[in-house]
Amino acid sequence: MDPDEQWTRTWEKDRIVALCRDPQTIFVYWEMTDWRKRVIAQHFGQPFDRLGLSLRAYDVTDIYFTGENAHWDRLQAIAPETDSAYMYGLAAHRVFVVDIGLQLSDGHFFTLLRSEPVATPPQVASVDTGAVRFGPIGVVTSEVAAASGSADLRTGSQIPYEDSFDGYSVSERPVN
Amino acid sequence: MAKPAYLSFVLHAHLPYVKHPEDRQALEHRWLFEAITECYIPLLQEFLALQAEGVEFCVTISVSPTLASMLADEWLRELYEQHLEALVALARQETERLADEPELGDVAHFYHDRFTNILSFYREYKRDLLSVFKTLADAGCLELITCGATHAFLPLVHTPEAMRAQVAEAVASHTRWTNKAPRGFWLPECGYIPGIDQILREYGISYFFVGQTAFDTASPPPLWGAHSPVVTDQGVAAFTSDVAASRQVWSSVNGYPGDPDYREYYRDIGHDLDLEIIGPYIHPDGIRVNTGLKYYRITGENVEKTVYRRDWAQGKVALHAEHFVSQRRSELLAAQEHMGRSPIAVAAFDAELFGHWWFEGPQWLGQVLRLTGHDSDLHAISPGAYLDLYSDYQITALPMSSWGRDGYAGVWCNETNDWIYPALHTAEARMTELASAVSATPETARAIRQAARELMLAQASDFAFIMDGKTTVDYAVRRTKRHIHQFTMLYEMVRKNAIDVSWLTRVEQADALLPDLNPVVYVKVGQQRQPALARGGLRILMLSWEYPPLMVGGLSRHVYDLSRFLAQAGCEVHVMTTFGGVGLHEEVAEGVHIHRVDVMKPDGGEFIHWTLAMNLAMLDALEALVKEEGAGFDVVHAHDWLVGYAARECKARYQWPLVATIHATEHGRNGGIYTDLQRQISAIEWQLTYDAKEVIVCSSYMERELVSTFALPEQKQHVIPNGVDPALFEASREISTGRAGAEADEAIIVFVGRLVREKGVQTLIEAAPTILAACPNARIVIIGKGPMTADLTRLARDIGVLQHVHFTGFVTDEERNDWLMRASVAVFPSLYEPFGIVALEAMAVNIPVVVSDVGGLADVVTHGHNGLKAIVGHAASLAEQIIALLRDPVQAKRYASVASEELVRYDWARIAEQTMAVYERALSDQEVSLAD
Repeated sequence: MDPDEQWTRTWEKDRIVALCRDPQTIFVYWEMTDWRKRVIAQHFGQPFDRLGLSLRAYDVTDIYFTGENAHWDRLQAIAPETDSAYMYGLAAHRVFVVDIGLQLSDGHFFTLLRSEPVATPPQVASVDTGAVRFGPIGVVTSEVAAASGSADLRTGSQIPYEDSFDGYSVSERPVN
Repeated sequence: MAKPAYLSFVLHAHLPYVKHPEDRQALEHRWLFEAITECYIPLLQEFLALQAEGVEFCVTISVSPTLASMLADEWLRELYEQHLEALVALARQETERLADEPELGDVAHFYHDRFTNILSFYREYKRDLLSVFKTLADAGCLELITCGATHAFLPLVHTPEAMRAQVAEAVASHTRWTNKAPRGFWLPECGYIPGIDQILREYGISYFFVGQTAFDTASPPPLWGAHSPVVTDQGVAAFTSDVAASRQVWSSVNGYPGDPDYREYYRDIGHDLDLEIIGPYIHPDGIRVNTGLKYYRITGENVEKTVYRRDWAQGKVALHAEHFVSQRRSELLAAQEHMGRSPIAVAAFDAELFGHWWFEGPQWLGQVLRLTGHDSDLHAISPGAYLDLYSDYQITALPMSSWGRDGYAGVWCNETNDWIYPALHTAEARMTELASAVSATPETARAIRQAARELMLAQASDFAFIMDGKTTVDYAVRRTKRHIHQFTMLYEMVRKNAIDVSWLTRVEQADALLPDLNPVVYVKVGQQRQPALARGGLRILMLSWEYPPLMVGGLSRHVYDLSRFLAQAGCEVHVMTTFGGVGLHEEVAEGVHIHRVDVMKPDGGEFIHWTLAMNLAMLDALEALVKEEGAGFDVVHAHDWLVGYAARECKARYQWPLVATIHATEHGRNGGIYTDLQRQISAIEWQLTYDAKEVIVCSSYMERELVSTFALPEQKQHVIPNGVDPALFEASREISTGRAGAEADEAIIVFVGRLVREKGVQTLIEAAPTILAACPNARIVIIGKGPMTADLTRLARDIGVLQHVHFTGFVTDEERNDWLMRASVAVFPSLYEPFGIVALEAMAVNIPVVVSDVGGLADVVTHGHNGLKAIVGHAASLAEQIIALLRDPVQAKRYASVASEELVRYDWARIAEQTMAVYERALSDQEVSLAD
């Protein structure tokens, strides 16, 4: 085939990338390797394509995100055979992360991949009434956050299922 | 007016890289040729004229590196000269054709003169337009600045390295052709995202430009709006265009370019004339193109176009220039009153507007500059010179923005073009990979450099813009695909160390921009190039869900000791484990590389799903280790089912031989499989033993269990006992010298372990009445915690021995050792015990032991040799053995010292050696695993 016509949408990567398009919109694309799909399918005992995938956006502005403490979150179903989507109607001037994951039958969500944080810009003039400061060119006046946003994504996880997990498995009867 | 106000024209000159050596007739060459004929040369001529007239002026021009590359390209220069010659010929032919039509004939003559003049200008400057820009800059008439290396829209560039590269190569390329580092930077499409300012500062940039949206939403709001630059907290200044000034020049509806007397862009003889006449001057395939000969004026909407009158147009140029200057003067005067300093109005445009879309634009610009040159109130200045006027500017934070139609990224990220980003971002990451590798040969170095050019070309915002605009989409699509394809080819060639040099040479000739590009800019900042695998020993990847400081079960300590002793023995050991909220994510401790992964939540709300999340996190971390740091392993050593998925994938993905240690089984722990969860765990255990080339168990009991539970052949299994904490040997030495003996009035019977059913503490409590009857001074101390604490307390109370049983709950290692030192006997009445490390620990401190005849305990203790055994789960039997030891302390002491002497079997150094022998076996080709 003419090299100019060749194209692939799969790059043998496991990733979900969120890009800010405008104050209300994030563009998300994702890819999962066959390896990952196979592990997940094995675990849930179903072909991967039958596991319903969803996107989930979390507002993680100014928090140490643990996966459970977002200010706000929203699920968005994924159309079959797609590998990208827009998430519309988000809040301006916030920091989001986006998961792709499974909505389990018992209502729980299982995260498969998580994006880096992405900041939406403000949409209206700042109401900042703080002191007006002046500074020279060529002098750093404070450290800024990284380009993509400023949330700390460490989960801060402690021992999982601590009440029932003994290091090998969990006891299935209630623990006194 | 005491101080003048300032007007700053900023022209952004840019075209995407359109060199097609394979096709001289490529239509896209005309993009460059039209821009040279209609914009760049007329602008340069205008500036030279102003300079000759002695007008004081300064215009800022960003020459994009792709445009500069093309203007410097000999092949394109020659092709352009031929194009221009043909144009002169066409104009001459037109003067002859129109000899009888006075009006049109005049216009044809005008074009003939004009093109002849441009051709002689081009030849006079030896086809080198860059030198003209440079000469004017050296004279102070132009301030030349740069732009993204290939005009990537930076907010949609994914990696910091790729963003940095766009800046670094632009600055380098600019400095090369101007002999001067640029002060200013034109962000492509004014695309800004916080963080770019930091990169610009690193490359010595003093100022850049943002769209109006950025100023409108900045925090705090700019006091003076567009009439002053602001400074970000990185110390870089940002200007934005004066909206009113821009609109007058931009807008084809309300702006000057829409005036009826100006030339109509859309009536070109390339489209209007019969093929017999125009045929030789358009594309050989008969594709109609613009020639640049356009005979009509705009005239008006929905009316017949009338012939262009140059004198009328020039009259309008003078009027519009005066209008513009008087508008700016009154606007800026008003601003100056409340600012208390000289305001500036930046009028920023694409350079191609002047001459190409607005034919008379260069003359208008010249006229404005003549007016400001003689104006005492309003001076033309460059942004750089303006910044020198004052020592400080308002500090504000600028948000993500652009000068696109929505003020953000919508033009470059929508349904027409969003498909490019997964590929672009992949290439960015791969470029960092390539740049970080050590290039072995000059050919590899060339390939890596060309890969960077291909990536950068694919990143050009022009292509996404064209797709959005829906004209010449095919070309933009083809170009994006071609550069990504060529990048990928180069990436694969470098990785496989198989460079096709003749192909590479062709690609280098076609995409010949940025000759001195330095791929090092793509290396991650702070990334140390460490030869990851320099030690030469076995490279071992340990998979264990827990590792110190995280310690829940006994596994953590086991993997810790095994890993560090393997490292001592010369192995390179990497432990992949979980981050338990303490410790570091990455560290090298006692020679062991530790990688602690975060397990993401939500995890499905169940422990079993959590294990999947953990395995996925481990696999991601491993892939990064392999991809980014070039790690590779000789053997993967997995501990227990919890890491079963990851172990299996390691084997399948990377073909690393797998060794598994099975510390316990779900079947053995529960005396059978009763629930779905147990079944699922058991299935993963089986899978792990099946996938493993070699399986390590800690006792012959476990070996039998795996034979019976999983039908795992014995020849695949290796019994290696667990080791004893070397610290205990230390403790043992201290104890044996300093110990005063047990207190005479109390015989302490100690149990150490988790309070779960399988540990059999209930048997010990049931034995208590018998023991107490025989030895009234006996006291039972239960050390540990667990879900059965309450049940056991109740049992002791029910049978009336609670006052003789002490539950310590959780204790520190020191407290535990204290208790052990004071004990007369240590008892391990397990119902299920794969190994029984605690029995060894008791032995290490010289305490006689009674164990149940089960599992690993049965291996550890030989009855009547180094301790005593009781029947499993049998209280009377247990009581009998305990009483025997309590009644015969001399014999008990003899057992204890034999046990202590024989502990060398459990020395970690020895265990590490045995484990390495298993690794070697896993690596050997003769040993074909039954699982394969």
